[in-house]
Amino acid sequence: MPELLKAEDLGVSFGGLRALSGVTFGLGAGEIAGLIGPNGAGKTTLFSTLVGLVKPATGRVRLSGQDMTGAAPNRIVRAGMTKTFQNTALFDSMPLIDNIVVPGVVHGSLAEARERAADCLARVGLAHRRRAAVGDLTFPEKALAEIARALATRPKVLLLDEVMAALTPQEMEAVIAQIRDLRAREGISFVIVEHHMRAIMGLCERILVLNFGELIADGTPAEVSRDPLVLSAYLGEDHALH
Amino acid sequence: MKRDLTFILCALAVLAAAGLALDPGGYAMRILCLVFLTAAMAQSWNIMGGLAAQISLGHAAFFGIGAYASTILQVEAGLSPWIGMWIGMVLAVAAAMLLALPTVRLRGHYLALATLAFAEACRVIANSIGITGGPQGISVPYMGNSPAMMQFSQSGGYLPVIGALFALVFGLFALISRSRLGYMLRAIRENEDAAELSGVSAVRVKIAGFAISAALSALCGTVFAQFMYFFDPDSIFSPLSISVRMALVAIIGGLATLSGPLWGAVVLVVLEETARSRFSALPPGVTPLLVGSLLIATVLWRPAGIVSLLPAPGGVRPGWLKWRKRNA
Amino acid sequence: MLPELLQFLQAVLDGLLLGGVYGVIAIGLTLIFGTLNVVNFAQAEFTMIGMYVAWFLWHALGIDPLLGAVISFAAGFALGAAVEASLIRPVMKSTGAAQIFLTVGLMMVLENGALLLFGSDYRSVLTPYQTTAYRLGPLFVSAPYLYAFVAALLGAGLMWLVMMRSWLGRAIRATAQDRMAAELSGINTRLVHMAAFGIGTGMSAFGGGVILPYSSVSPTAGAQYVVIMFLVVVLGGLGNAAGALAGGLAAGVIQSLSGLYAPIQMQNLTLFVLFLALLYFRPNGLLGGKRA
Repeated sequence: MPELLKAEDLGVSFGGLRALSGVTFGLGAGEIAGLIGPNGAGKTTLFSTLVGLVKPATGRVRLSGQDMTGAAPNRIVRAGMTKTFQNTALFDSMPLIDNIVVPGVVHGSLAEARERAADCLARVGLAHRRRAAVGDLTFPEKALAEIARALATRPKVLLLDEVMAALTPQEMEAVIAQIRDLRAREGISFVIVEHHMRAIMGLCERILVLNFGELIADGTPAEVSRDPLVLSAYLGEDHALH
Repeated sequence: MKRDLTFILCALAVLAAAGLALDPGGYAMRILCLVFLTAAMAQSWNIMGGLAAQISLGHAAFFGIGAYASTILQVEAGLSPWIGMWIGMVLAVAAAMLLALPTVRLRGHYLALATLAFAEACRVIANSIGITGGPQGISVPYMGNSPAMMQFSQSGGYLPVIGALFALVFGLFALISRSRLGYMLRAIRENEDAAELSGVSAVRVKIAGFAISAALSALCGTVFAQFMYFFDPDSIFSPLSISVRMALVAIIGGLATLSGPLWGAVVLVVLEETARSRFSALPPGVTPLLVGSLLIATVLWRPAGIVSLLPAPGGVRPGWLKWRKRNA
Repeated sequence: MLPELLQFLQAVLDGLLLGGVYGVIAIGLTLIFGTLNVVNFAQAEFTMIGMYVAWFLWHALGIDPLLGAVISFAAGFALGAAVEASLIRPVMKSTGAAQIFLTVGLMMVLENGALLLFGSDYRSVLTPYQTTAYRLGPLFVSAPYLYAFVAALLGAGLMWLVMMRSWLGRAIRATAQDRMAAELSGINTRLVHMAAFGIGTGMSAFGGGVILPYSSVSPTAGAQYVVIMFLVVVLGGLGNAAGALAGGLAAGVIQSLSGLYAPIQMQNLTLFVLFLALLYFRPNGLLGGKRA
C-alpha cells in the first residue's frame, strides 16, 4: 500500500526535555490506527508535530510523498491532514455553524463553505444546534463540533485527539460508525488517541504505542496487547489493556 | 447585509439633513465633520483591532503618512490631494508591509509594542527631516474655495468629502466582515492555532488585513490634513491623540461591530467639544481624564461597548474583550 | 589618548550611568509581567508619580530626592497595590486586548490626573551636588548621575534580596511559575499578585525619585520613558529581572553612543529601530526570556 503519511525519526524537545525521539511510522490510505500510551507519553505532542504546530528538532514528515517538515500548519492542512484539539479550541464568539464555515472559505465561495458546513454538522449529528453559541454547547457537543470542523477541511488524514472522552456509550457508537463510514465512502485515514481501550481496540486494525516519547510497539490490537514492553509500560496505570 | 446597508444609509441621511440645516461655516458643522471623520478613523482601525484582535497602538503611522504624502506633494509639486491621497495610501501599505515583516508572527502585547515603536519612529523621522517642515509643522497651501484641490472655505464644504469617506470605510468594513476574509480574521482572533488547522494562513490574512486597514487610515489622514490646514509631527503621529484614540473610539462604541465606531465618535467628540466650549474654565486634563476613565469603565463593565446598550434587532454579538484568554 | 577614543569612553560611561536607572525603572515592568502575565502600559506613569513624591518631599521638607525615593517607592507600592486589586484583578482572565486597553486607560487617567493636580509646570530640585563632577583619570563622572546609578543598583539589589531570601519573594516566584500549584501549596496568590504589582510599580516610582536631581518632573515626564522602558524589558526578555538590568545598561550605552554619531533628535530613532529589529530576531530577549 502506498504510504499517505510518513513520519521518519521525529524528535522534539522542550527546553532540554525530550518529548519525542526517533518516532517512525507510516499510514496508508483508508487505514484506521490507534495511538495509545500512558499520560505524558507524547501523544498530543506527536499530533502537534505532524500538523506543524510544533517544529521537530529531528526527522521528517511526509504527506502524499511531499516533504512537509517545518511547513506552516495551514499548508499541511491544505495538503490534506488536520487534527482536533484535545480540550477543544472552537471559535468562541462565533455561532457553531460559522465555526465550521471557516475551513470552507479558505478554498471556495462563502455559499459553498456554508453548504459544506451544514453537511459536516449533519454528519456528526449537530444540525439542530447550528445557530447555537459555542458557550452553550455541552462538552460532547464541542468534541463533535471539533470533528465537524476538521471534516470541513476535506482531510485525507484526520488525527483525532480524545474526541470520545466525554461521550456516552451511544454517542461513542455513533462516532465510531461515522469514522467507519468516512473511511468507506471517502477513504479518509485516521489516527486516534483515546483512553477508552475497548472502543479503540474494536475500531482500529492497527495500534501504535508511545511511551516516554518513543514508539515501543506497532501492530494489530491482538499483537500489541500481548507485547511485554507494552504491558510493562502500562503497569501501574489505572486502565488495563482489555 | 441589509441591516448594514440600512445603517450606513441612515447615517448618511442624518449627515445630509444636518448638512442642509446647519450653517456651513458654523461650529456645529465643524463638530459634525469631526464626528464622521473620527468614526472613519476608528473603523479603519477596527478592521484589524476589532475583527482580528490584532491590537495596534501605532495606526498614527499610517494616518500621518497619508497626511504628509498629500500635503508634501501639494507643497512641492502642486499636486492635488485627490491624486496625492492615492500615493499616501500606497506608501501606507508599503509601511504596513515593512512593519508586518517583523511583527506578523508576534502575538498580543508584542504587536502592540512593536506598532507603538513604529509610530514613534515615524514621529522622530518627521521631526528631523526637512521635507516635512520638521517640528515647525506644515501647512496646506491656501487655495481658497477649490474643490479640485480638496479645499473649502467653510467646514460645510468638507461634509460631502467626509460623508464619502465615511461611506467607503463603513461599507468596506461591512463587506469584509461578511466576506471570506472576515471569517478568517475572526477565526484568527478567536484562536490562531485552530485557524491554522482550519487551513487559514494567519500570516497572509493578517498582512491583507493590515494593508487594507493602513490604506484606509492613510485616506483619513489626507482628509484630516485638508480639514485642519496645519499639522506637525507631534500631533499627527501622536500615540495618544491619534493611535490610542482610533482604538478607544472603536472600543467605547463596540469592538468589531459596524455601528460601534460611529457611536463611539459621537460620544467622544461631543464630550470633548462640550468640555472645550461650555466649560472652558475647566483646567486642562479634565477631558482626557474622563476619556481614560470611560475606557477603563468600558473594559471593566461594558466590554461590548455602547452598542450593547442600544436595542438591536436580532441581538448583538457579545464583546470578545471579556472572553477568557487561553493558555494563560 | 586619542580624543575620539576618549569621547567614546566618556559616552560609554555616561550611558552606563543612565542605563542603570533605566534598568531599575524597567525591573518593575518585568516583575509584573513575569508574575501576572500582564503588560502594564501605565508603568511609566508610576515613575512620574515617584518624581512628584520626591519633589514635594524636597520642596516641603528639604529631603534629598535620593532619600525621598524611598518614600516614592512606598507611594508607588500603595497606589500600585490598590490599582491591582481594583482594576487589574477583574481582567486577569480576560483577553490580552482588555488588559492592554485597561492599562492604556490608566495611563491617560494618571497623566491627566497629575496635570489636573499639579499643572503643566516643569519642576526640578536644587541639590548641593548638582554641578559636581568627579575625575576618573581622563574621564568625568557627573555626581547626580553617579548617585542615581548607585541608588538604582542598591534598590535593584534590595529587590533581588527580597525576591531570593524572603518568604514573599519565594511566594512571588512560585506564583509566577505556576499559579495553580502555588495556590494548592497554601499561598494566597491574590495577595501575592497585589504585592508583586505593588513592588513593580514601587520600583518604577523609586527610579523616578533617584533621577530627580538631574531631570525635571511634569505630567508628561512618564511618557518619554514608555518606549525606552519597553525596549529595556524586551532586550532583557520580558519577565526576566536580571535581564532588565542588563537591558537597561545596554539601552543607556546605545542611546549615549548614538548621541555621538547622530543628531540629537535621531537618538531615539536608533532605539526604536533596534527595538523592532529585536522583536523580529529575538522576541524572547537577548538572554532568552521565559515565554514567547
